[in-house]
Amino acid sequence: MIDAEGPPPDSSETQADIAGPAADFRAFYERHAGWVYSLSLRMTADPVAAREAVQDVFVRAWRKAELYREGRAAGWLKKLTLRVLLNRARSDHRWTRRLDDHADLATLPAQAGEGIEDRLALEAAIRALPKGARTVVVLHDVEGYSMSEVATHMGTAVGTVKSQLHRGRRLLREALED
Amino acid sequence: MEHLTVEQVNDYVDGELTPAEREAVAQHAAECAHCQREIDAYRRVLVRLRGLPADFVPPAGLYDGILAAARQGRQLTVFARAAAVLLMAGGAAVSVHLARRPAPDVPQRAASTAVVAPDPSESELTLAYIVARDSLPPQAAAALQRTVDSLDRAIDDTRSALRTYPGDGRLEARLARARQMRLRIMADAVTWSQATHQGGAT
Repeated sequence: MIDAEGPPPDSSETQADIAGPAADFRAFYERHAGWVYSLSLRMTADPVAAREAVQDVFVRAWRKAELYREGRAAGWLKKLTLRVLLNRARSDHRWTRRLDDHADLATLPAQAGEGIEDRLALEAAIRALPKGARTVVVLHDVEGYSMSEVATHMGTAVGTVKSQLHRGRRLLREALED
Repeated sequence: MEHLTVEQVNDYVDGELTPAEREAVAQHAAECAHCQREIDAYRRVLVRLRGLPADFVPPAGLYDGILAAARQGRQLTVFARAAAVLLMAGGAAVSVHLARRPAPDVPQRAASTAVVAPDPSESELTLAYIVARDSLPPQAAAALQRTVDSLDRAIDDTRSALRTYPGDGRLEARLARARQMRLRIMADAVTWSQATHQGGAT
């Protein structure tokens, strides 16, 4: 299990932040919001849940103003994002539902490398995976975490991660190539 | 000829085999078209996954909602407290009141907007709720979240049914009641958090 946040901020820290690092925070948000949202959307398979996760992440990040002011927040933000998403995954049953296929169209970057239809098919296939397999496929195959890192983040055994990964890949292969 | 297992194929494309195991799999694949096709298929999927960009465009207005919630922090709740009071007074009044507020985070939904999209006030209150929930003791926060989750499931189920039976009065009433209850729970959480941090009753 990861503990990205460390101790909760005290009230003086919150008050200091309110004094106004909005410009820094905006730059911080613009630098990181794309990947936080991408990861959230792929792991939740739900635009509403993804938006809530992004809100959750950045509201917490605001309380750690010293990190983004000093530009050393990327690693910490990644851990925080994973923590928020994995905690929500344990309780949020909405993540198991499928979405309308067009729900992501507005958010797809215009410069997507492969054809838009292939890209949509791949995103839809990821979205349709069972939650456990989807989480592992996104973290390992898309985000590049090792199996042991994924196991640590999820608080589970490497063997379980591997099993979910193989299941997810098999389902993706069937969806994309059969 | 016995084919490679799924585990062998995956370990091979992941580069997780020992040199000897790798050589054995490669030799088998060279003689077995079926297993070579399997390896190629998994490789294609992996290449596509690893090439996915991480640059979805976040919904418009999301930043404004985050900034508002972050700035207000645990002291936020001027709105939420008013919402809680209004919720006690009746749903219609709340709807009118909230509808007049600027919406920092209008959900970006492409379809079924009338049925699917949350009221902007729900997004606003959800932000306040997230802040409030996280300031409460873990057990209390978890209990609250379970309640909200159960209402979310009820809302989702009803929305789904409404797609099948659009305009069904009983379903619409059920949806309205569930959303109203969700707002009430979230507003209660915000006032609870506020009372806790002001040293008041919990």
